[in-house]
Amino acid sequence: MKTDRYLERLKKEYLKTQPSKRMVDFGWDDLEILLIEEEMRKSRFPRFLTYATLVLIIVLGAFFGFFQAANASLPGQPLYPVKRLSETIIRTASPTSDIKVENRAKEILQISKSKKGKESLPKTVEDYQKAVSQIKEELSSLENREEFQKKLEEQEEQFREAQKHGSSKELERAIEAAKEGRSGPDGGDDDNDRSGSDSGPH
Amino acid sequence: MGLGDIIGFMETDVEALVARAQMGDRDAYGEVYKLYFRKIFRFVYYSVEKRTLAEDITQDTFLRAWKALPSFSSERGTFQAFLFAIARNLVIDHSRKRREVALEFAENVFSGEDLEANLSEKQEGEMVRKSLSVLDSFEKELVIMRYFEELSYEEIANVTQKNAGAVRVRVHRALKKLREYLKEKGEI
Repeated sequence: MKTDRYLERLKKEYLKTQPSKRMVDFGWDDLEILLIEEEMRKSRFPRFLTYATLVLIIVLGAFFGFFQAANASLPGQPLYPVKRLSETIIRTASPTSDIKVENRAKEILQISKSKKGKESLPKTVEDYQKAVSQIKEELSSLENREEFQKKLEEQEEQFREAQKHGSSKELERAIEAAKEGRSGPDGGDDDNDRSGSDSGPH
Repeated sequence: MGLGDIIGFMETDVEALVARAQMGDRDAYGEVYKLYFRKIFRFVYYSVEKRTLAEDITQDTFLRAWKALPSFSSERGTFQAFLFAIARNLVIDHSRKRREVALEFAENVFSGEDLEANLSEKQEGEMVRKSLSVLDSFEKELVIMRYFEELSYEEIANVTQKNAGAVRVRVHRALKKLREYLKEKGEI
């Protein structure tokens, strides 16, 4: 067909059209540089994500600092309610957590050593007693009980040590609470009371 | 080995190069570039009619194709069609921007240098340009892709986002138009 022949002629002319010599010789080199730049741009953390991460770190840091300060607070201080609230949250998430016992024990020791804030000591010891009783009831596995008893033993020693600096009446109550917490299910003290036990000869 | 076998082999070759490029092999992509950059340049050149611009758009085509490599799949079409589609879109974007600029400025002002450059460029490929001038831009693209660059109807359908049947019909109409024009001019 005449049209086909004409198209063949047109095609020959069309194929003669070439890019510049520069493009033929260096086109790929020029493009490769752009590809490398593109790769480098992709590997850098996107700018907005960098800022978002920074803000997140600052906010988290602020929260962390806030909770650190709350954790270190004592009864009567402004952040103390936050500390108590966080204990509730922790206990909700992990019911066998003894965070309350630990925190009350630390508070007792801190207050007894400090010159200020001693008026809150009786309430704190009372809270300690309650926390110990509560955990003692809740601990079901033997392993957890032994661990808890060991902790109470350590706390008892620390209370005894703190008695040298004063507040002996309140610290005595704390010592009793720790002892009570370590006692077995039959209500007696494991160390001193064997008369009710069926094990071993008398 | 027949022509069909050679073409088949080359297509597999390109697929292998593209697969390597998709894994980050720049040298493989370089080989792909060397296979196709002239085709893309010619296609773009007869749309924009300026050499430097055509070269810029060609480079931009390959840069965009590199960025879009992860989304390319040979199941959806050939890499050649992928490149032509990108090039075509860039030409359309350029035309759109040119129209916006032309509307903003009431008259186009060319320097003496521009006029001279335009003239010398227009002399090249004048026969092709004149012959295809009777077609609209879409028909021109179809004739170039089908008859000069030898893309299949399926590839052209991929490039233009139309179905292959519609492409065949448009190509047929474009040829008819061209035939009538050439008869009028006494070329055939």
